[in-house]
Amino acid sequence: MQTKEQEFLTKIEVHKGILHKVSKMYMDNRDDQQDLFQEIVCQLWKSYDSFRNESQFSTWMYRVAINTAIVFFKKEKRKVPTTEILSENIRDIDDDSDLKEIQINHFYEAVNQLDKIEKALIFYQLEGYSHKEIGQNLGISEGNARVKLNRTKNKLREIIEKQGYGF
Amino acid sequence: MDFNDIQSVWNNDKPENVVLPTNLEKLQSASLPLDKIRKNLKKEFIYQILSIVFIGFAPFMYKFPQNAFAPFYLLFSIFVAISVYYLVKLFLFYKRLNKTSLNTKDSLYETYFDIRLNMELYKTFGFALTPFIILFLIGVLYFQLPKAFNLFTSNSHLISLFGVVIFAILSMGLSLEWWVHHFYGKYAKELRKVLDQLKEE
Repeated sequence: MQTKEQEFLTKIEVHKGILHKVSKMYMDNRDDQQDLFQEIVCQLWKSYDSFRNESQFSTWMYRVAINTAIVFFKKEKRKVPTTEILSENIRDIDDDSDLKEIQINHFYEAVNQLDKIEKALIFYQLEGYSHKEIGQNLGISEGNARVKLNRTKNKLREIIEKQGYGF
Repeated sequence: MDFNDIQSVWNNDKPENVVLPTNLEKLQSASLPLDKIRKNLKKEFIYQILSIVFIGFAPFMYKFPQNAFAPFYLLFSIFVAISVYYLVKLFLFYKRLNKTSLNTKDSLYETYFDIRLNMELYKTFGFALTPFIILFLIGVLYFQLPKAFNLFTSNSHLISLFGVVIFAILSMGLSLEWWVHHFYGKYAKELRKVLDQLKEE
């Protein structure tokens, strides 16, 4: 029989990629991303008893992950701007073969310029949530979620264009 | 470029080599506001307990006269009772878990009000102790430097004594405001900013 810890780790294993993506959206350097990833797993484990199978595990997990990322304070001494990481990556890239990698880096660089709630809105949208579900997860009305999301999508598009990069 | 392009970039990002921690019990939370406050409080608990012990031995260390022991320990017992009351309250306050599984707005409000409540509790704790600290200082002055004490309590200098006490209490109040704001206020301010982003438009 599986212990509670094993059961939890099995469930998280399936979604660990998404948790890593949340960390990349909220933190702009690898060390902070790693810290946030650990913090999210820690908070998920601490809150695991509150998961009651009434909703999907992923819905519950996204909510805890986003709430943790929003109130996460990075270590103050560590400041490596994304652009450094980005340019490092770009130097190593061989022409078209890593186009996807470049696009992904540009996407995260742009997302890092959004505020914390805007990042949450974009995350839920990219994960296929409806306006109603986004509102429920954030604790705001469906209409408010729609207005904010449209504004955020425009903002993100402008940032990406300002970077001089269109996908 | 439209949002579909962004969506396809998101879908193309499939992180590899993501390693999950193997021992969950060893995971330490350290970067959430309440955890940071808890850490600060832990340090302060230790200093406050050491101060209480130190004050408790003051009559022996400073060789107070025999007749000063009873009033000193009477005051000290009230001081200890108030300190224990607040320390236990602050300690229990932060034993509670974060409510990260609520919706974002409720979770942020819970954390925000917990921090605000702690800040106020901390201020009243400090302010409640101020009169005792002043009385202890007066006691030390009375027994250690009686000449200076008589100078203060002579009729002509009663107004200065009055002024010094009022100034000391108000300074303590202002220092507490600064201390609490400096060490805990930044977290509340940050959360308030995020909460404002959730307001209806």
